[in-house]
Amino acid sequence: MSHAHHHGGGAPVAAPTGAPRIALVGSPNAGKTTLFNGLTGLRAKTGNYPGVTVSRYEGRVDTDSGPIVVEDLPGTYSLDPISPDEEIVAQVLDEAAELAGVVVVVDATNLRRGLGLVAQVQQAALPTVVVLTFVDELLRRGGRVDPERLGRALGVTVLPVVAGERRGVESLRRVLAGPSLWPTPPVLPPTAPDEVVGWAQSVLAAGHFAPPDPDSRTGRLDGVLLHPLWGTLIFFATMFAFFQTIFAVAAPLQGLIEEAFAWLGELARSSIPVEWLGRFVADAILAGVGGVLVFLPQIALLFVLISLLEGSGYLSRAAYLMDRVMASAGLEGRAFVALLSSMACAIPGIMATRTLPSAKDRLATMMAAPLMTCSARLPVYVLLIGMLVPSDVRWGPVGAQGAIMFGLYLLGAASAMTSAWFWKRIVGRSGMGLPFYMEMPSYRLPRLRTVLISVWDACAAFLRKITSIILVTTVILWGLLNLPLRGDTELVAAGVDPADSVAVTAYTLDHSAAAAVGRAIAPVFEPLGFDWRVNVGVISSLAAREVFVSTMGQVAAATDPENPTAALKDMTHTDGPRAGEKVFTPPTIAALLIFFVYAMQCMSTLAVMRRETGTWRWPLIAFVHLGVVAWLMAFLAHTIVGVLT
Amino acid sequence: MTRALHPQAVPGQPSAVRWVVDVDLPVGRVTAAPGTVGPLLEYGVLTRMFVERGGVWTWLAPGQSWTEHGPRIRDALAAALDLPGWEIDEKSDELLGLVAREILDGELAGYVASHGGVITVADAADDRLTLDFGGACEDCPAASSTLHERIETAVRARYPRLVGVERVGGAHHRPRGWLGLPVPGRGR
Repeated sequence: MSHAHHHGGGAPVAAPTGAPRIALVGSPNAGKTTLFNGLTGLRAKTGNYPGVTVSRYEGRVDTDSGPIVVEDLPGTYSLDPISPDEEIVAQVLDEAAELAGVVVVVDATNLRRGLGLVAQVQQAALPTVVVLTFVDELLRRGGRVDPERLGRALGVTVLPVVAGERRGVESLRRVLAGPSLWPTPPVLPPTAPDEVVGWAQSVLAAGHFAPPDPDSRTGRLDGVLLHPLWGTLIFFATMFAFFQTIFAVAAPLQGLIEEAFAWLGELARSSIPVEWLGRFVADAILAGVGGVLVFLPQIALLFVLISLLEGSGYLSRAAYLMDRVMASAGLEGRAFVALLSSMACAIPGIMATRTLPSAKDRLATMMAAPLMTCSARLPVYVLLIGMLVPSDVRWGPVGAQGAIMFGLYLLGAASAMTSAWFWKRIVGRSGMGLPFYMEMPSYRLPRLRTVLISVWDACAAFLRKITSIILVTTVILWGLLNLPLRGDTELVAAGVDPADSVAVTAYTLDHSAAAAVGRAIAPVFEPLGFDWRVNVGVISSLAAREVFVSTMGQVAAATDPENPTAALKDMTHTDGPRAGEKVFTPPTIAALLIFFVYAMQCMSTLAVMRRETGTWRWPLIAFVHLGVVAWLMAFLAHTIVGVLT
Repeated sequence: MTRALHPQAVPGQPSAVRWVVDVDLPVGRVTAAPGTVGPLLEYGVLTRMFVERGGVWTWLAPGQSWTEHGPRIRDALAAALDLPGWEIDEKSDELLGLVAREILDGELAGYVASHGGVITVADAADDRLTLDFGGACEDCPAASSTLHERIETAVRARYPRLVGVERVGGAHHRPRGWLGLPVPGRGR
């Protein structure tokens, strides 16, 4: 489960039993995961965000002496078990008997600190190799190091590997073949902190190390980008521009996919001889599942931007900027970083809370993570915003659709912050503020390969979700909406002409099991303007948010297969006090949007929350309180928009 | 303030460790040392000890392991280096040989090998070093200049009493450099 949602998480490869195990240790940002990818061919995303490599990753590497298993441990600055992440690493190294060796990945531009980690790792008395990354950047910035001398001083092999260069990865692969042959230092490094400092100083001098000049480009850029005012403005402008592009760039692509599915649906309807089967394929599979699939361009774009921001080093700055804002509310920076990864999906975000040393902060952040706008909300937002305002409406120079989308992301983020703050008060203050260390990597050109892998992984995860939980839920829903099939006698008795397929569909829908459920809960959502079909959509979206889109797609396609979008827009209340009125009025759409901002509609997130807290109590609390908040906020939105329009 | 020092293995001599550290002591063989190093030396836990410019060589008694005693010896050494009471025989051909070998196998190994050469220490006596220039070095005109100079400089930096470096089977070659054939890697 976690692997499927851990964007960039490759499927775990069945390790050959008995193969030697080698652990990969290194600080976040040292290029450890890039190296892991290069070695194993497994896909795992890189970055200094906790959450990117929280779960245990291992992959097979074929060497000259047979296969070995390389385990990518969470990024960590030290082995002092302050946070669960560091504990994992310390624990794995403690069980030294299971390891044949350790590869420590050290960023050459941060060698002094990296040696501290090397000293700690060497205490495990395992064969060790040090991989030196970013030597190219060190040289470019006027620093220097002699890997050979450094290796002699450390008593281990030191291999410079420039990220992404095959040559370095190949020489590491050769070295990995024989951990038993790796040189070991005659005497282990000291453990007392001040002695380690002396040891590192001596090793650095022997390795002819000169630290890099502060990166002048980075310094100048940071002067602006980390400025409390300009930096914040630029951050919001960047985000704003992004949501504009989502609509401007992805919309035409989305239109094409939509048309293709409409055409396929028609084809299915007309060419499948069994009438109900044709409708099943057209309405459930093509309109329902295809209705979600059309949002693939948006998902891809979202991840292009996220990985560009991350790869360039800007995302750390954004976190830093926000950290300053949040510090005033008593939240620590790590929490924000965890929230930031929730923009992709709440699951890695929740797992990222493992980097938080305080259990109370972990809980507070976990409760907040589901409020960050995850990629599953994107299809719902795009669908609803598309119905709310036409694409050509502009407010000055900006498109209204993109602006609303931006607002929803902002609302999600602000709500998450508020929630984290609130829960921190509720569960009590954490004892002491532990130091928060966040690295500001130099600005780097994002690697195309990394961006592509990240986008591909996100799309693959989306497709997996569509073909699993969304497909299953959609098929079940189709059954609930269309079964039992009505016989002609019943139709005639009810005054419906069996030859009029639209009337038959309407009758079937109206008397389906789903309709009964939707009507049963109508009183709950009636104040928000939802009709029973929207209710069914909302309930079904509890499995996964995107199912809302597929449900609406099914309903609309059943009503007017020629033009489902128009059918949805023109959908009217079939009964109740609002009978005959349009369902998707601005207040109702606004209420729906806001409902989706707050509601906890993701079973996977609840399951991960259960796993991380060890009890059902917290997922239950999250589900209930977010449901209540969602209803209240939606009601507020319905009322406000109702007054305004 | 703790001393900056780190250990290095001595190839082929598992009982030896060379501690890389800035020392302000005369260069030579240690006969008596202050602090806890004194008893270690006296009772034979450490069997031999040399001081060079930038390092201290120590030999552990046979049957003892560096893994076990290393940390203790490191601490003792770090503390003793700042104490008075060192007694050192300032002339040691053994140390000269060790230093020369360490340099040839260590910092200059890559350079020598990249020129296809093999250089070994043939003799170290009376503060003079005799080297065997094998492999490609034998006929290389640069061997007598660049390499020669580099070796001499490197050894003298750590063993200042060095008088000169000679080649096996030949008189002391004067560096030719710019007077003779052009030397690769130099201007002119």
